[in-house]
Amino acid sequence: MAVDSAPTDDDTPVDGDASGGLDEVEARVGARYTLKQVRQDTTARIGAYIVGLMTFVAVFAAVDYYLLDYAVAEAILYNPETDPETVRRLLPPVGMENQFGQGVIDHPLGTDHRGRDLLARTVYGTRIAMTVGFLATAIGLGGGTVIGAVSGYYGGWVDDVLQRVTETIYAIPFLVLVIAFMTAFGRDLTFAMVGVGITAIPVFNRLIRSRVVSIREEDYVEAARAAGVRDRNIIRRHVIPNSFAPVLVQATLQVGVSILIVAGLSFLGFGAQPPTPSWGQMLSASRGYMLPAPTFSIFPGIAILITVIGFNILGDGLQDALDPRINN
Amino acid sequence: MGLLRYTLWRLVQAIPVLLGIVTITFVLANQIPGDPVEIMLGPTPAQEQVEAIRARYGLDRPIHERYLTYLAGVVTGDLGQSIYYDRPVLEMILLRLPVTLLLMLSAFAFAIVTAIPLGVLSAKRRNEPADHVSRVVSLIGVSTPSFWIGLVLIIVFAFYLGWFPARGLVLPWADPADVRGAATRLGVLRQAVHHLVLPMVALGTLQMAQITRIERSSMVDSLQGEYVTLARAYGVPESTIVRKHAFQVAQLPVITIIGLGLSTALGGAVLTETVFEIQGMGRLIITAINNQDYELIMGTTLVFGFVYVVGVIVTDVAYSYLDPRVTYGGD
Amino acid sequence: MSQQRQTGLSRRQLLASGAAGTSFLLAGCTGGGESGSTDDGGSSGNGGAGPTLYFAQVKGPLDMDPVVLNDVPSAQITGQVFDGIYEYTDGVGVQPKIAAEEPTVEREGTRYIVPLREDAQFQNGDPVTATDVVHTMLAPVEEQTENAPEVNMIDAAEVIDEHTAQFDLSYPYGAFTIAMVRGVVNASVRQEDTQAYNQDPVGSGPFQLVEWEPENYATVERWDDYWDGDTLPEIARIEFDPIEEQTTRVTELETGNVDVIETIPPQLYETVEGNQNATVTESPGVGYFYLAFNCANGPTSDPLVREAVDYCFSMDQAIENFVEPSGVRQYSPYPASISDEWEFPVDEWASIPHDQDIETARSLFEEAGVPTDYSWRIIVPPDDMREQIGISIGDGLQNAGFENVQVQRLDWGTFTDTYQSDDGPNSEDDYNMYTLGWSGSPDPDAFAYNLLSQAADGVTNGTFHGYDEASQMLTQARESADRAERRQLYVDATTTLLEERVHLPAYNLNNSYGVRDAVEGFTSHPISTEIPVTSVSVSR
Repeated sequence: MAVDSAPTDDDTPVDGDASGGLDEVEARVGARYTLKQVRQDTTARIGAYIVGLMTFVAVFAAVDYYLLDYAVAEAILYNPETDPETVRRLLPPVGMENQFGQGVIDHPLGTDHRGRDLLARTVYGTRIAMTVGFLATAIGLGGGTVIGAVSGYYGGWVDDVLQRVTETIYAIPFLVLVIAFMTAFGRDLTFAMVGVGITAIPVFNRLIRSRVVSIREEDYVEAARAAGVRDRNIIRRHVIPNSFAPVLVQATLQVGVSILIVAGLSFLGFGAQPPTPSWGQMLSASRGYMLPAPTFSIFPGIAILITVIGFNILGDGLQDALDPRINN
Repeated sequence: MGLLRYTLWRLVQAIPVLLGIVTITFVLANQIPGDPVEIMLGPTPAQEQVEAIRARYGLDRPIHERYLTYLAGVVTGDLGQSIYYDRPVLEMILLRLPVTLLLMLSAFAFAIVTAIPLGVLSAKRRNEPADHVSRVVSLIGVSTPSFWIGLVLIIVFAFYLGWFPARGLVLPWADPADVRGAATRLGVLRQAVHHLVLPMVALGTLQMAQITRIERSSMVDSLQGEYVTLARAYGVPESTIVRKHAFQVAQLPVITIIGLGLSTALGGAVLTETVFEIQGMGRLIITAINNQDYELIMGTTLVFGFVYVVGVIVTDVAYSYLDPRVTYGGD
Repeated sequence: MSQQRQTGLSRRQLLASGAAGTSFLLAGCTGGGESGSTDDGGSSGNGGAGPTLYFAQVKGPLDMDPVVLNDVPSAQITGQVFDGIYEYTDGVGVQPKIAAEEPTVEREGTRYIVPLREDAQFQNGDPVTATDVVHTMLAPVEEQTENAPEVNMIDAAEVIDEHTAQFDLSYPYGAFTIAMVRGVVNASVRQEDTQAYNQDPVGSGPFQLVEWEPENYATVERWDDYWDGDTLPEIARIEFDPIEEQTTRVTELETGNVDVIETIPPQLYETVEGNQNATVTESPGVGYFYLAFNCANGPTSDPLVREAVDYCFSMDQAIENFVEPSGVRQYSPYPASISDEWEFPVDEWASIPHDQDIETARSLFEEAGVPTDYSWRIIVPPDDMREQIGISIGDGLQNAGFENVQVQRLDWGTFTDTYQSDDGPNSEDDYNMYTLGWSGSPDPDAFAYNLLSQAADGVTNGTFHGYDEASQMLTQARESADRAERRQLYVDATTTLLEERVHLPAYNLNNSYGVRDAVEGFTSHPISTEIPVTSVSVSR
């Protein structure tokens, strides 16, 4: 069983790079091919749907928040901020009953400890989760790729120094780092995002670095160097695109991981600040009501679970799609 | 470069790393607004008190002087004095560290002992029902926040069923007289296990699920490798193949994951300790940050950092030991 | 079931084994701090027959030395181990304990002569003398400990004879007797090694400290040779455990794992009450939670605006929603126990705040000339209830037509930084209003002076108000030793400040306890550090 490039059909390069004959030897995987593979795999499809749904919800929530100022949410659902007289706190979902009252259709999932609708808050929490997830992953991807590529390509002391610097930052338990950072500079969501992004760097760092190390030995790279092609361009044109597949997979998975991490930060109080809804923070608030109103803590948790599962199975699907050997 | 030399070289390199950790934490801790003494005293009318206590802890000296004094102390094993607890930092750490280590090591053991066999089994019985179940379980495991698992475990097993306690850890070597519900050493051990189950599962699930997945995919890869196919063609029994040829090679990515997971585990320990009210290093750090206890912040971070760095070195050394194809330290 | 007494030796064994255990784990580390060496009374009487009480605190203790400690959980425990010079009655009155009777006050309230009992003894056999009493009162300032402000009015102290102590104050201080409600320490043992004393204290109280770990737990056992044998409790042993998570605390009460729990949050009252085997007992504490205005800068420096804010929302409603039943509405800086004791005109003060009336609020804002696009800034500390109050006011302002209202929850460090100031009033950009609380000793001075007098500006008073006359009255009241005079000064000053709305008083928290039915005789006390167990019995 020979191990070489991917099955031939549709392996057009991702970017229109004109490096000629080198394309066929490198196992580039095109976007169309990837999509086709994903479409064929049921679980990956489900993953894609979930991710798509969550992205849509997040965008919708963002639009409503920034442009319409919660107008849509207010039109559909009651907001106790404007009418304190009729607050109904800690209601269970519609159809159930607890010591605070009967569930009502106005609040299908119930209300939280301040009387705010849980469905609305869970939906709006998506915005924070997705935003932080994507941006943090982007930071990790960008930073990790650069460090890993340079580190792996040049080797020697450059490698040592860069790896040790990465370790230093990573050695401080990231939760501590982020918390200290936010306590020092303010509890801004941006810092949380940067902090989570930093934790993603080593993952991509190691990935890219090991790819680079193995690719650097290849003949065509030696040839390019001998031909006088600059290191920077070699990295850019051969190394990085060649790692596209595992990086895509890792990035997808990493969004899920970032969402989990930011939920943990929010849980401890270092994520989005009230009154902005975020799932982790809702879970933290629900802790005090676990006995009288346990339904409060269920929905944010489920939201996290479904979203992260979505990213994970999409990532798995992509991995299966992009790994040539498994396709036998 | 020989293995021993490599290890030593890594250990030497660890020193600037640790120095970097201390420095970064020092800078960050001193950026935090507010003053630890004022936080401790609360609103108080007596400013002279504040000044006097600050002087007592050396907080009135310039920052670079404090930094150097601290470094000098670290080298001699003196990690300074905690403002919040009014006792040596080292004492607080020694009190709390065993608890966190117990938690982390047992979660780790739980993860490895469950995940590796599960992953191997899953790989061997690829696409059969057992595999599907295992994949679903590990999928849920990597997708659930650990603190939510903890909360749900508490609600179900501690509140409703009452099978396990909802909080705290008992150290297995504690004196029976100080442990409620234990009359003998064996009783203490039983209590220790009893208290350990829920937090261990909460903390270890993520690692377990990750290791299972990696183990599975790694084993699948290696089981399909050229070498293995050849061995099969020669009629080598399957179990031998799995054991001798596929297994060892497959462990490389697993080890990387475990190594990387160490830092995540430390963060996870903070969350688990918060949910289960365990007085360990995680909560110590949070308390230190909330009260701006500079020396405690640095002491605890240093310990965590040290543990992590050692973990990374061990991982890298193990990796290079297991895979002779990989060379380290330059061409 | 009789308990095998823990001798001092086994206590030390545990500490040693703990250190040994950890050093074996951290191969080669030094064995940490070893506690002091003197054996302190392991041979005297011990916790014999009698039940054990399991008490769940909210947080764990930090110190066991009365001179050093400054937190409620520690004080709750040391209250069992130490006797005070004076002690609280069932309410906020004061009665002698180590002292033989009320002190003699001379020199216009600056000299206090305290006669002591002759039969008081420490748990190691030493008699309690005036030397110990004097050391107890002077040490906090000498060592600059955290609770030094409580006794820093002492100028000099003298041991007149073995059973008489004399204190000279730097200014007349009417509430000095309350300052003497303080555990008496054994001066000679303590001065030998103060660090060790914190770990192994020697008191003269009915219980001895067996074992404790910071933030983790503490165990005390009855001292059967207690010098005041008539008040020896029936309880033989108390185990204090902190359970921070309120749901867990309530569950432990339900299952019977603990006998008494502290501090029941509002949403769990029903759960505890609904339990067949437990009840809630509570009394309002000695505390005060409020909203303060920036009276120096910004629109809130205008009393008309402050009144308008009052019209924007209903404090009564907010308290009902977010504080009750674990707290009560309070209309003045003084908790009910003090108002009762001093017969303050609470009804009059209760009629000052307005109900919600948005129309009136709007017209007042207009009259005062506050533009509708003004950016309001309300800062709140990291506490849910105080945050809710801030949010309620913010909502009220929004109802009145203001769009830019910000309620900021700050860390304690940042918060204190913001409302405190070295250089005069804070700007309106720092805050227009803040919510805060105070709990202090049961004397009106603790509340009025620290929060409302100009002398405390920038330290504990962030209002920077300009009501000089009222402020002077508060200073006068503090220095007078004449109760009637003090009372009148407090009434006048407080009425002025409340009518001008420097503060909007909000609420006070109850000291609430969940008590299992098996425990008899347990009552809550307004002072949260008091856990009276003298008349408590447990039947299992």
